[in-house]
Amino acid sequence: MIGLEDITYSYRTGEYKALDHISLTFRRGEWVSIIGHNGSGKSTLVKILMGILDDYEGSITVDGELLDEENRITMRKKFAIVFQNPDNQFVGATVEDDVAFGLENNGVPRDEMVRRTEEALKAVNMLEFRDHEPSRLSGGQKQRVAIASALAMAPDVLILDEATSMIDPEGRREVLDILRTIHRRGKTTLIFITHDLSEIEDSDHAVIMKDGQIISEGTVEEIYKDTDALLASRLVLPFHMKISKRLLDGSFLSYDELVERL
Amino acid sequence: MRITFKNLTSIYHQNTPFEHLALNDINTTFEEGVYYGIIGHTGSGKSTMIQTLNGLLLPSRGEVHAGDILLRRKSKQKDIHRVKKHVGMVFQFPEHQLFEETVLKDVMFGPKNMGMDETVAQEKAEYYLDLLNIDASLFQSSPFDLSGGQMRKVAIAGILAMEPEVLILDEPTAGLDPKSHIETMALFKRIHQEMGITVILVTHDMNDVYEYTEYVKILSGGHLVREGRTTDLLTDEKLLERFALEPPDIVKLTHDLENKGIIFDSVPRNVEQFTELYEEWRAGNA
Ligand SMILES: Nc1ncnc2c1ncn2[C@@H]1O[C@H](COP(=O)(O)OP(=O)(O)OP(=O)(O)O)[C@@H](O)[C@H]1O
Ligand SMILES: Nc1ncnc2c1ncn2[C@@H]1O[C@H](COP(=O)(O)OP(=O)(O)OP(=O)(O)O)[C@@H](O)[C@H]1O
Ligand SMILES: [Mg+2]
Ligand SMILES: [Mg+2]
Repeated sequence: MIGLEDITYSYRTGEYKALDHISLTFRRGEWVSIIGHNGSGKSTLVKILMGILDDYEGSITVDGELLDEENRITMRKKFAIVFQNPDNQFVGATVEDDVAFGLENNGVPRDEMVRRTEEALKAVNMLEFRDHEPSRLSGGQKQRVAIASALAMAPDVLILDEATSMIDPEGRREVLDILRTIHRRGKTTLIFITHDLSEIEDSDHAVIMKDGQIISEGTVEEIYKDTDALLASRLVLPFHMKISKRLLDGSFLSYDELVERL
Repeated sequence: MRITFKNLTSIYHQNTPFEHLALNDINTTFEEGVYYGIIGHTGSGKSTMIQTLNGLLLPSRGEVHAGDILLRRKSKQKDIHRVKKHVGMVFQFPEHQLFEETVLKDVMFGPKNMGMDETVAQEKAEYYLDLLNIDASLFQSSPFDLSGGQMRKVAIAGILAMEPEVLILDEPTAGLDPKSHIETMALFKRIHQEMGITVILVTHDMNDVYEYTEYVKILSGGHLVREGRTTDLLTDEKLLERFALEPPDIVKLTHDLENKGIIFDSVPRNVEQFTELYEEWRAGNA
């Protein structure tokens, strides 16, 4: 379990609070989606969790242990993140090296490393690009590789910060399917940031941020109903819910249920 | 400005072990003042194609005719520069485009490069930053000290401030919040209509392609496999499936309702039209 307790953060001391008194809990195995307008603080929040930004006010506990200078590096091993811009995280000269890098760092034996690298690249359909240089891939291919690198780590906590924004719809569905499988196993905590509300439907818990604060949280159904918070944070319901609102009673339903009821 | 590709082939790292054929013998034209969509699976060659359109990449073989300027394998910097003045491109990754010290300077770069003086360039920059909803409090920040979505908006403002004749957009809404997404697409449409510029949109968002573009070109494995009217191609589910593309939400729903016997006279283009058609149908079948 991870607990954020009253976290406040400014990129420059005394200035604008990118995070403004945030308290939030992530339970083990839980899928939590974070949504909110551009600049609301989503990426800042996960960078704090990862220990990339550290001079915050408030406290963070991971599995009961308070995060501090000393244990930051060991704690970080529990996390894997896919950044919003994949270029920021490539370290290997080839796609394969890139995926293997984190495993090697964590002392995973060679045989297992090779197997996990292959599995992860296969899962995102990038095995045939194993010898390519990550920086010389198309936008969607880069995002796929970045996701593979995080998956291969099999982390306790997997963070995806708009990780599929340039992937084609079919590829996005595949990534969501992978997440569902991981979620079912119940061991990995998923922290998922997106602007596409149709992608949050499998999460156990969703959080709406606005100007560095949490303005609403709950189940997906509760979030969909919180019209004021959605509007305030520049969010728009997914297509099938929009149609449901216009033509039916607006109740929470899936696409298939919509087709049935129309 | 009309742009034509003649037998255009684009090869990355030619004559090395890493040689990669990204575009294969493409012949096509972008007419002046038309709104185009370019669609295709990941890695199909979309970004390569549009980088060839504005001289960022030169053809390995074949030619690009941009107005009266000809671009070829060994074209001179002078010609490339002339094309870039008319053709503005928003990159797939905004970080690849931003470079100045401050947000304001970054957006002023384009208009200054077009020959506008400092005052006019600043006016234009402020005007477009405001249209993109970038708060004036961010004007003096480094463009790299912004959130992902804010960076993209600044990159878009920078190209709009050039007021190019041809506007190329590579995944322009990736990372924008839903409201900004809608506003930005509406802004491109308005500029297209009011200024009569050509717009070329590359995106995986089939809903935007369907709602905003007039014509589409479909790429698959570096080949131009189909081009035509958006309303013809994006309603053809068999065709889309063949190239691993998804139908727009509205088209999918309209087809799913057809299978239930709910048939409209025309295929709606957006949620508003869908609602209207459905209500008409409901009234007629009550
Ligand atoms: N490196 C930085 N230096 C200074 N300010 C920053 C930096 N990165 C982000 N900010 C500011 O902090 C606030 C929160 O940014 P953050 O990146 O967390 O937003 P976000 O919710 O991830 O937005 P987006 O959806 O656009 O990615 C924004 O106002 C942004 O301008
Ligand atoms: N700089 C480069 N060097 C070598 N190969 C490249 C380079 N850039 C792209 N490629 C390759 O060329 C092909 C076409 O890439 P391109 O970026 O045009 O695809 P795209 O259609 O824009 O894909 P996406 O939807 O993922 O952005 C891909 O297979 C890619 O791996
Ligand atoms: Mg972000
Ligand atoms: Mg691309």
